Amino acid sequence: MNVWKANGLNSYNMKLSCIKSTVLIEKKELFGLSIIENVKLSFHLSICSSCKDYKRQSQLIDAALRQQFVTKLEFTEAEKQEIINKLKSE
Amino acid sequence: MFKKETLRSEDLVSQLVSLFSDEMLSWAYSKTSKREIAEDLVQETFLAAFKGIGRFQEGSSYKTWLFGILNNKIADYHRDRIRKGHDQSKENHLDMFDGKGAWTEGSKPEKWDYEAQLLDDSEFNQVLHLCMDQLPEHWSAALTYKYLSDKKASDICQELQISETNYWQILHRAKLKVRECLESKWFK
Ligand SMILES: [Zn+2]
Repeated sequence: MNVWKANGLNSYNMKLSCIKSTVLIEKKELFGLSIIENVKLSFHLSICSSCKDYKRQSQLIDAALRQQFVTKLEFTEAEKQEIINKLKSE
Repeated sequence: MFKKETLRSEDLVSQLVSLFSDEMLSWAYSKTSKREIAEDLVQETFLAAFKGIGRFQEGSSYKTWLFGILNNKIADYHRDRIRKGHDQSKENHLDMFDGKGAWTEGSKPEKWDYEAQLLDDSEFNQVLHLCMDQLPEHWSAALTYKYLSDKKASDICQELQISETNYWQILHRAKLKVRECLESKWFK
């Protein structure tokens, strides 16, 4: 406990709500966290399985958005012709 | 007779549209989650390309040239959404948490079972587009914009003139919603 007090933390302040911990999970990924924030988050994740799941899922969403998956779409021939006509009339 | 004839620009128009428009459409859709928007962006790209055809450098590739213009248009589209919307984000209440900030009973994340190749599954990616499309426009724009380039979050904030707090608040909300949507539409 003395360690926390030295950092201006007590056991009450160590407590992080789930909403705040999800905020910190996102903030960490974007901008990084202060040492105190990091400690608080690790502590919360060690006792809360829902937020631990959230973290994994958030990382999966990041990975899905980062990858360059391309769904094949096509213009109809008519749509292509329309574009061509428009370009030629410009 | 053997002299290489340069393409008349009218033929070039038809050729480039038939060669690349589908690929450009697919790419734009993957970056906007909206077919209609993707179609508009492709059309605008061709218009801009032919207006600036004088700047096209002989010997470089038409494809690289077109996709370069398209990528700028996609980035502009997202920047525009983010700038227009970022003030209203406070109104949106996060209903997956109770007054004390704990997950409400029905909203707790559940374990997701998935195979390693999930991210290559086109149906999964369709559901992801659907979930992105259900977000307020500036949320999905902020989330997509982050992955358009390797820019750091702090640089993005500077570029868009939004505060870091505002930015991570938007992304936090967007993530919570996408997570919830994927869980109900894919992982159940
Ligand atoms: Zn929690």
